[in-house]
Amino acid sequence: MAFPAAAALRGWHGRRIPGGLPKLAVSGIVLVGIFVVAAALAPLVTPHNPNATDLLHSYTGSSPQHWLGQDGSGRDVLSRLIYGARLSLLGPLLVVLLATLVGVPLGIAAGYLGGAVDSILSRIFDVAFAFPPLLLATIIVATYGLGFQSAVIAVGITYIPLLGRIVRAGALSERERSYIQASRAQGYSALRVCVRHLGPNLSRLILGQVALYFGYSLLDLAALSFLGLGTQPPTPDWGTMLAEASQGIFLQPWGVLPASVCIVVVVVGFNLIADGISDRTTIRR
Amino acid sequence: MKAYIARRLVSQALVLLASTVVVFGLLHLAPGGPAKLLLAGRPVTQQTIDALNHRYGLDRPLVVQYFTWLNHLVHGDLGDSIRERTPVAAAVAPRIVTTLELTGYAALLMLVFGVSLGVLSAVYRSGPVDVSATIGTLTAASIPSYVSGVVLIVIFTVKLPWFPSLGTGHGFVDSIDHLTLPAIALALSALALISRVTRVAMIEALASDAVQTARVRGFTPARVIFKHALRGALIPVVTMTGIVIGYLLSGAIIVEYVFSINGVGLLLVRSVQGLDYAVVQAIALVLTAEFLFINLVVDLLYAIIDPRVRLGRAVN
Amino acid sequence: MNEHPLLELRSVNARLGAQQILRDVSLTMQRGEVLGIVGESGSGKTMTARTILRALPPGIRAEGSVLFDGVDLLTLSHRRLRQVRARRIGMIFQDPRSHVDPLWSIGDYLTEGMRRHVGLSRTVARQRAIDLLRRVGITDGERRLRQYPDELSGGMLQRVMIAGALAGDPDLLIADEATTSLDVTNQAEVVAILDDLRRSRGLGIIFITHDLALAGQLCDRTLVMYAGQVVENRRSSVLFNSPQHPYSAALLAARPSLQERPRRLATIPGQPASPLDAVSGCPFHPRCPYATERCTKEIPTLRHRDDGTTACLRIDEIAEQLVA
Repeated sequence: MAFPAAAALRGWHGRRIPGGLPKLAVSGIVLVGIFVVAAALAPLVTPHNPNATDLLHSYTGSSPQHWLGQDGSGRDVLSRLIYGARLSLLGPLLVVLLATLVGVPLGIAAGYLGGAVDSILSRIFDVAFAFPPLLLATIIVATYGLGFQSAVIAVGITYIPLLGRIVRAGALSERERSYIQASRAQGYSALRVCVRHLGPNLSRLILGQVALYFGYSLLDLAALSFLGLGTQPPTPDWGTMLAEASQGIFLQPWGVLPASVCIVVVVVGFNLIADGISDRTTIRR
Repeated sequence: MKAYIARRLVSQALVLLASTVVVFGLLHLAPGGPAKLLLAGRPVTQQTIDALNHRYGLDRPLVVQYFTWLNHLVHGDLGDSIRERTPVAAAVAPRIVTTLELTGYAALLMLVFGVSLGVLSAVYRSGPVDVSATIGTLTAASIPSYVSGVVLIVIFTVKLPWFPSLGTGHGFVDSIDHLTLPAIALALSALALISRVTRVAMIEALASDAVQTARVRGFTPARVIFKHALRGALIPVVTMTGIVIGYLLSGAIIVEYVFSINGVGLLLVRSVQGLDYAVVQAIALVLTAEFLFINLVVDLLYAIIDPRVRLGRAVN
Repeated sequence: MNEHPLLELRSVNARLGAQQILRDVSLTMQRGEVLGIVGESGSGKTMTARTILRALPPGIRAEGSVLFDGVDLLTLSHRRLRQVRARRIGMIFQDPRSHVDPLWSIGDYLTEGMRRHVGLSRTVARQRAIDLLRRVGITDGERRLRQYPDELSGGMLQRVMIAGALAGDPDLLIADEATTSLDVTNQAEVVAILDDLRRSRGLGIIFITHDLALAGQLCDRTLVMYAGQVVENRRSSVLFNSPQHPYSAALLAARPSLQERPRRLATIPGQPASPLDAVSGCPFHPRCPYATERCTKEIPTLRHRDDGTTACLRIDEIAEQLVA
């Protein structure tokens, strides 16, 4: 559901700007940047109060005062969209942080230490992979209660084994390299070697993966919100907005577009950035 | 071959067992304890507490609880749904079929169109098919199933009344009619991925020495493409299918919700919303078991396509 | 009786864009003859073989004539070309592991051609396959048919590839470095098989190699190539005793001898030229000990000399100095 995105984009390399950054990656940054800036400046930029209802004008189309129309409760779609960007963009950031802070150390531990530690961790990863991803997030949310926080933690947990496995593979292959062996031979502890040498050398690998996860997790979080399991209405976020719009689908069919377009555009943006990073890391190597 | 299947079977069975532990464990990790979760807003009387204790043995040691629960499970007793006041198994069983229909339909679309598109893109590389396929797949890959589902409804149900919008339909033809849009929504991003993987794999296969040998031996282009190149190209495609199936199952949850299809996914969402935890547990197990089973089938396919796997050698 | 030679190349040129890959390659070959093509990497020997079967990499264009039994293969329709490839000419390659599809059983690999092109039934085809395997020295054919390439050693797989090439009962077999990746024992066996095939079936063989000694063992005639051109074409026995090109002489001199112990191995100074390097005049002149100024300006053409051909401007003057 979410993963196909960047994997499919993998094979498409854009032209390069002299100075290193591929053109496509720059457009990705621009795309995402617009939303980030708008979200940050939300109070200054939005024309209306995103929560102000106007039940006489529910499911209305575009008008001079409401450029993107009004939703089921008469609220201004554009304002909700901009405020919604805050949660919709914050969520992925938190998910990525969680996955990195937990997944990377686990992966390095499994790959570098090997033996029993690796066996146990690998088994844990295997079991985590036994669950279809959204399902795992759903039952975690079911256990801990609905809402934005739960959703972030749940989705974050599904990404931990993903990153963990990849980091583990990287650590396994780097472990045999001479600079690691030399470091150990000099008597440095495993912890020090991992933190000061292994980690930084895996950083390109990690960065490449993590860039993808922004896009994926945005899709996953929006899915949970859409199902009513994540962000709860009336709080605006693109997933809940899409859910609301689809309820009024017979009255205002095109009301589903604003949130949809935002989601797709930002995901494409993240994927372009990810592609650009992986381009650079492969060329360097 | 048999040894290989046996090994995979045992491996998957163990993983399945481990996942039951996870599902079981999750209940007990809930804030406030399992009882609170299971009761979830229902009036708490001594009767209900006793019933819970009886069913789940909540005052016994954890390990005993687990095996009791597992025992019930194996005998087909999945507990009772609080919302519907019926045994969970009865609620879930018929819906499994619906979900399988939807997922199967989507998988079929994904494979048939994905592989065909990939082969065409590879054989007529850089031609109009390839270029438009590339653009198309890149776009489709960024669109989640809830977006495509909703948009499809708008276009093909509201604006152009080609398909019925909601529900499952009765009978074979009607079901297909109802399931087509959802299956498309579900298959779209997976199709994009399968198509690209096929394309890359085919290009490599077509350039391989083994395929060149086939050409030099005078076989027709069609035979070279389909009997020689495609066979080798299918290996990475099978790998990707195994990965993608997980996303199809996840996506089914969303798509069923969007299209109001009465499958296991819709029930799951309603149960989570309605805090009906027993059902959530049961469906989690069902879907996981399905997923693992499909992975087993994929492993089997591997062994059929690639003799090196059967012989126990590393592939590639 | 057929008046046509089995194979005749007339002024074959091959180009990749503006780059000349093969220049003016000509040769003639009779039925039952074994022709060796010898040269270093980049000399064009593989490209010549590929041109015969029109199995060139994309982007490379060939001109001239490739007359197989009187018919020009370069102008043949695709359908008829496929027939020639299936029944008249067979080709085997250097690395059997990458050329024999690992996903096919040996039986399927061998019988595919027989069933598609000749229309034999499965049983008959399998029997033929077993016979073919016996011809190439594999006796337990029945068992082998059920095995997969991964289960066979390199030497055995190479023989399977030969059997596969023979399945259509061809008149010409092209062996492109077929023994290069084999160890000495296997090499000797494969050479023996090829020799036997020539004697028993009158099979014409083109044997491409960089190993001069090997060519001398097996081949009636030897063709020496350098930088995409034919520099010498002569009966092997004559070539080995009195080469008529400085390059051939140098190759012969560079062979380490088991009898004498020279203090230093003779080498040919410089790098092998590929036809992609732009050199005026004779392509060998930068490395030739006999080169004069004329050699840097004029491109030598193949001339008849002593029952063979030579492409050297100065051959009349230097012939005696080249005797091995």
